Amino acid sequence: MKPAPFEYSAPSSLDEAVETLARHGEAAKVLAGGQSLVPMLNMRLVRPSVLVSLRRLASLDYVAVEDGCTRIGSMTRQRVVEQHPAVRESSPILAEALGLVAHPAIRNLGTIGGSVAHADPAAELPAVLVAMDGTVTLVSTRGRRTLPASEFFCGLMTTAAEPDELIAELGFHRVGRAALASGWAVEEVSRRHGDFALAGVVVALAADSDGCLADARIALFGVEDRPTRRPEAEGALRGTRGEPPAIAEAAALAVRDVDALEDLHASARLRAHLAGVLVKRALERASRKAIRDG
Amino acid sequence: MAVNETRHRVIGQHVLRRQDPALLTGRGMFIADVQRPGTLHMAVLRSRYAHARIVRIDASACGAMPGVALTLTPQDLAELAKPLPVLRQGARLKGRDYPVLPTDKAIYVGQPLAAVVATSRARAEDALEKIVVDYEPLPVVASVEEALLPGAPLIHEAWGDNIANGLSHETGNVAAALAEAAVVLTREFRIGRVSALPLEGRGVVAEYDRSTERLTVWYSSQAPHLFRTVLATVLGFPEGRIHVITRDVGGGFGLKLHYHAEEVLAAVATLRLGRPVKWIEDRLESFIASTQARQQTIELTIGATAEGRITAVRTKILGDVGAHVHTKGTGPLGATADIMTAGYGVPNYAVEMLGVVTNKPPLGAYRGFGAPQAMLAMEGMLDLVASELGLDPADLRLRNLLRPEQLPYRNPLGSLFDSGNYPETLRRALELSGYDRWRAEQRMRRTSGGRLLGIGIAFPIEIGGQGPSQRLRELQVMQGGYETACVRIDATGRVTVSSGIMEIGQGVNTALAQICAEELGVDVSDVDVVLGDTERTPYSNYGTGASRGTVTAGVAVLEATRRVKQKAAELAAHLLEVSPEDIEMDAGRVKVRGAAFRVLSLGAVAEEAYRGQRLPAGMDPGLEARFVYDPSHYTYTCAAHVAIVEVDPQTWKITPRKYFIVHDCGTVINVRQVEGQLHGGVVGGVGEALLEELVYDEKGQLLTGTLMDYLLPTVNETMPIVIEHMETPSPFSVNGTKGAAEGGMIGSVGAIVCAVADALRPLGIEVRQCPVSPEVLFRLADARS
Repeated sequence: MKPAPFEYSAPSSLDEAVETLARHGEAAKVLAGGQSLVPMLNMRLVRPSVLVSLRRLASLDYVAVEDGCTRIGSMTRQRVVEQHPAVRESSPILAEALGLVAHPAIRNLGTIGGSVAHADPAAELPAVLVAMDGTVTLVSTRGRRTLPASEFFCGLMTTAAEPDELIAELGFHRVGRAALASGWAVEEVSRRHGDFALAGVVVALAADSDGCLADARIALFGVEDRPTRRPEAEGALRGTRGEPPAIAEAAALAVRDVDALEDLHASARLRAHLAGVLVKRALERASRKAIRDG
Repeated sequence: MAVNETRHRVIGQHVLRRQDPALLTGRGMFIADVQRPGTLHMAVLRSRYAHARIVRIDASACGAMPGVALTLTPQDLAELAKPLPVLRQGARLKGRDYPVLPTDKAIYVGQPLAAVVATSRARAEDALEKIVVDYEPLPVVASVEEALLPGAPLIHEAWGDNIANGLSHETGNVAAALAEAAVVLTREFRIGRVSALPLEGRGVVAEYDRSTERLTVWYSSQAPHLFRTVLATVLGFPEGRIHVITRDVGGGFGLKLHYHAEEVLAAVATLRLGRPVKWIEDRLESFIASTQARQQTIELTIGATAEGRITAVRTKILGDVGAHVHTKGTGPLGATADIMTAGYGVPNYAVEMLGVVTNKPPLGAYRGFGAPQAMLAMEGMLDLVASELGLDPADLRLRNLLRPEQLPYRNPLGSLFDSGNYPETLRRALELSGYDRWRAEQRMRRTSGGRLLGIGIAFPIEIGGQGPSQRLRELQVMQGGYETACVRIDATGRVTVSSGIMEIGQGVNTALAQICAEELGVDVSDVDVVLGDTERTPYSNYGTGASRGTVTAGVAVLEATRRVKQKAAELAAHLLEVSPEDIEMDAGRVKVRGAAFRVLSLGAVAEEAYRGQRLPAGMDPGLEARFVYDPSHYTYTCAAHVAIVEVDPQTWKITPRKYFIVHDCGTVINVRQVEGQLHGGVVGGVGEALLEELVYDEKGQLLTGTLMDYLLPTVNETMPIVIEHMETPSPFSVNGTKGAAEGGMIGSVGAIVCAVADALRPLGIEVRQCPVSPEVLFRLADARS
């Protein structure tokens, strides 16, 4: 379990980093926190000829909140985001989701950009990004572009990033207008605490002053090959007060036609079943927050 | 000499483990920490196929790779190393040894085929990629069921079948008893394949000194002395010129009783190169190339009277022993057969056992050695009988547990259970756990919806103190069960204890210090304990395993200490001009009874002993003794376990909630360590019952080769464990001790699975397997509806 030989590069500026990537293309691999890549290198499952470490790029390590949008630099460590007062204030759902990512020792090193780039279908962070209509900003020598999260995740551990691009920033947007009461929940079932979920759901709701749901977001993770929104279920909830029949209907719609993955730990049928149970539980909890406590 | 009147100053106390300060401050010396100047590193090429003829291995391209010093192929090894011996044999066992590297065919994925030694591990691994192996794939025997089919491919052609070992036995008349029984049930139980998985994997550093012609081997092992003997035999190298050193061991759990190819390869390499050669098992290797454990299918038929008295048990045990028998043979399967009826007095018992080879890594020892499987099946079956008869599961067990007056009790396969009060042990566990309150809560929850509560009971009997050498001979175990201790009081009055037993984290070093200090009347901190170095400790033919350390080495230390003490008393009596009967020893001082002013320090007596000028007639100088203890019997620890779990009937998530044990291991030397053993064993049981499994596909490829897929329990998956002790000394061990290292695991696998089954019984689901995962419960529920 030692990596195959590779060249190591640790550029000191973003320009230098993207130039290095442009030069090497697919032969290069970007190293962020190393929590997924390093084991794959050691098992020789990945054999880049050049490893481009972003560890010296302090310019990618920041959290900024303005106008309901939380922008986070890709090299910001997961633990920093989880504990950041502004994040807990503006995007508490993000803090809750990060608490379910592996263990503190891993979150101390793992970066939010790394998690999104890795695009494990069972990871929490991509699901939050998809639920919140988030964005991914990519940079290369060809310039910057910002993609909606729904377009960034293309399939099983596959993203829209080109080999010469690296992730610079993630953007998380508030659900609904500022005046609305919000409720959220992240529910998952995993074999052990901190494992990738067998199935999980991110729910975010916004209610108006009458207690009616003005906005509803439901994203499944660990079920299909990428985090996916459930627009039919979301539509069925809007205008309701989150009553049990409305939640039951939304939960049923959320798992209708899911194309669930199958692996050693869970069959496709179990994943679909769990998704239904978890959507219902998440909606109950989120609507309590948005409507009854809100 | 007077009997020490202030006994039990340190026996039974919470004495901290002596290695803790070093380990907790990062000063441990594990095998990877051994740094020798000029070290070369070894990497091992492993079979990609589960079953394939090896047409050719071409390592000629390795030599040109940077840093490569040596390549070893099966052809090289043929002249340099004999096969490794199977130490636990048996009349019907096939396969008495196994090659270091196979010459004809590979029989499991991960089997060593060649090795490269280079200036770094990474360079050695780079060079491995240049070795060309021409495989001719053969049909794979992926399971026991396939292995037993007529016309199944043979793994060892010379055997004529795939059966490595078997056992048939009947006590009483099972058929007649079943015909008369009011209730007869037959069920199948399945136990998954797991790894003992010490977090410190295997490892070796071998260094041949060409000037002294001596071979020094640092080796992470439970049995360094026996390794020296095995290595000398395999290499044809003088045993007296091999020095084996084992420092801190980061877990063994039975796995490090096994002798694998890599340690021989490293020794061969250093003999060829004259430079230190290091091999540290990586995590992937620990999954594919170390011995594995447990996997069995057990069919059990049980007969009981209408009053719930078990009258007969018939069992068929099918064990998957992997591709070939290893150091411990099919020992765990024999243990399952032996302990199946545990502490329940079953008059009629029949067992058919088959150990079957498949194309997987070999079966090995793992904490519990076959007993957890028996408990899973037997306790699971008792719950079904109780349900059938409308009896409470605890009540059914109380009706069947052996009563104190029935002990010593010879079980159907000849094991002699020594002592204990089994029913009282269970009654106290019911009380300790608040069993009736849990049952009330369970009833409430069954009607209120939400999470279901399950209660599981197990009553493990733990064989310890392995063992009488003659009994081992009868079992065709090629090892003696004795243990030796040396106790020396040095010229300044400090004490050094040495023994061939091994410290592997269980704390036997501290227990031995306590036993010596207690007997000698010195402070426990005045006793040094030396273990794990073949040149500084007396020989052991067994090492640490089978819950034997404190029983065997403990008695050896006790008896050696008594002899040293006797000599010190005789010398002191001579110096003080009194009779030895008037001498008493306490607090490091030698006193004349009733004459407080006539006192010598132990150091002063020792100084005279070594100076040798004022000795009584006939006394030799020096103050040390050696004692060899070969136990007359095994010991049998009993315990009652009560597990409480919750099951979410929607997500099928299982959450252990609380665990209770009343434990009787005879005389307790160190309460903290006994409880530590129980904690560790129970957590291991959580893993085996709910999480851990080595999953192989139909091609014999491992699908769970990382710690992301092979799920070890962490603190998040455990629950509070409450322990109470009873102390019924063993009448057969000199100091009353019994083993305590395995029972936590033996009981917990069954207790936890029983608890899950208990939670789901109202849903009409029977759970009879481990590991039990959400997927397993989902499928069972699905099949039911």
